[in-house]
Amino acid sequence: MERGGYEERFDDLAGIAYRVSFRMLGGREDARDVAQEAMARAYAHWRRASGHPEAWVSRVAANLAIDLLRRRGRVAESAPGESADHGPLSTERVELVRALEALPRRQREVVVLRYLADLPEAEVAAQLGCSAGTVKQHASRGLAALRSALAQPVLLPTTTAPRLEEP
Amino acid sequence: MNLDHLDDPRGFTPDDEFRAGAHRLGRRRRSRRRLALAAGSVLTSMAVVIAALAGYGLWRTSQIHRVDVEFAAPPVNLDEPFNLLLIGSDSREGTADDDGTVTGARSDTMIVVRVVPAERRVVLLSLPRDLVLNPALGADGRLNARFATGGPSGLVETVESQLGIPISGYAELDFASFIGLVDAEGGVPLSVHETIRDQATGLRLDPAECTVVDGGTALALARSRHLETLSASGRWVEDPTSDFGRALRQRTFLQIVAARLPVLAGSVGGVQSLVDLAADHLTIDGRIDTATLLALGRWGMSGPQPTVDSELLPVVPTMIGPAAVVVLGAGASSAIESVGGTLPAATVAGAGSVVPGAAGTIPEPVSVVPFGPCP
Repeated sequence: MERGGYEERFDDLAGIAYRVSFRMLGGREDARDVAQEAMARAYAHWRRASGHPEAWVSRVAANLAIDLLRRRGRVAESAPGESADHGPLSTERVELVRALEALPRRQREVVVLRYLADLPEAEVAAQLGCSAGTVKQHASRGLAALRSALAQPVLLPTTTAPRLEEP
Repeated sequence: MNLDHLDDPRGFTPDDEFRAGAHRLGRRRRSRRRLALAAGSVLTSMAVVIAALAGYGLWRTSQIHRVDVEFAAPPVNLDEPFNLLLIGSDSREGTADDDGTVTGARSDTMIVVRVVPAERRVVLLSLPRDLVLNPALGADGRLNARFATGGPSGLVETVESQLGIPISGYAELDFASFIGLVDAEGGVPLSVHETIRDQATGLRLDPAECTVVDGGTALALARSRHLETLSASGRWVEDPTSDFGRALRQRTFLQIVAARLPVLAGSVGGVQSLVDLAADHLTIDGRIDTATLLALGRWGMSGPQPTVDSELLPVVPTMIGPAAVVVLGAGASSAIESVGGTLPAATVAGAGSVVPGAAGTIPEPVSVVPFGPCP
């Protein structure tokens, strides 16, 4: 069975993907699109994803969200006049994403799984194939970097603001 | 760190539309990925095979036997029509004594191969081995004798100056190589028109609209010297034209085999066996370089199959002393024109015995070639 378990885990995994992307993007439509794309990729690559599906869809959803924001940023820069529709700016989200992007790959993975996907420490360790101690280490370093970034918010010009519809 | 405050206050439950969309996108991604994987692996293996074949081909073509030949015509140039003189040699039964020299080789079949690249057209003109162009030389004036004493250069000189056919390249093919070629093609399909046999070789074929014969049978048929056909009265009748009929059979056979070359060239093993056969059984003049050879091969194998027309040089049998020979018949000059040549007036005048009028032409006797390509 090539996609054994996919249907059974669908709601669960889609919920995780949505949580990760909404926390980063803050828009229902965007989060839904990203979660759907992440689930589509899980479908296409299920054999690889099925080993640690929560980590897999979380990572894909986070990367898709970052890609989306970068694309929006570039669009906004090249056409500043159209950015008025993008709604109010959520400084916290912008800073969160910026800080995530600045983290080393392994720390970012741990932070995404632990704090964006809300996976328990032991689960993250199992998904990433490392010890709980390593997860703890990456998590605390990543968190420290994240906190210092979030404590000193840098307001972006609205032209590069990510889209934000709700709440 | 708790990020719950960043959650969607309305929560999220995937609806049917979400689910169906994920499936649809996933399926599309999967097929695209499979296609890309398949295309990638096919392209990669093709590239490897082509590179290996090109290297192998270059290495093997460099091993093709060479012979120095003097020509009056310019060398082969694929931008213009050109003629090759192809000698079918039957002297080396198989692959023994393959030392690349042509001394002592007998030319059983001489064919002018005219290639018109722009029209993708090939014209074959058989030259009878007993053709005498200068009766003053007696039986030594036969083309075959010219070849035996003067070698390839002597033969090319005779064809160029006395028949007026420009020759740009020379190739000598061991007829026995056709066994390998035919077997590499997986046998050759033949349409057999009559019951035929050759008691000297044990050849026996029954009429068939299309039958596949192996290399050994095909060769025995092509070079049979005592081909007999079963007449309606139940008697075996031997081909009375001897070498003339034999040359026709060889040419017909050559055409059938050549027409199937593109099929063979379509497979990796086929190309390899072609290159091997060329290296083992082909002798070409030193003026044709490897690049020209490969360009010629590419021309033949790519694009639509060239049309192959067959021309007969009209000849009349006669005797010079005790030797049975043939001389040019009426219509010879137009046959020579079909391969871009001009029959010199001096040859006509010198031959003296050129027989004028329609009576001089020998129509191709069907019973002499009791086989052909499958319909």
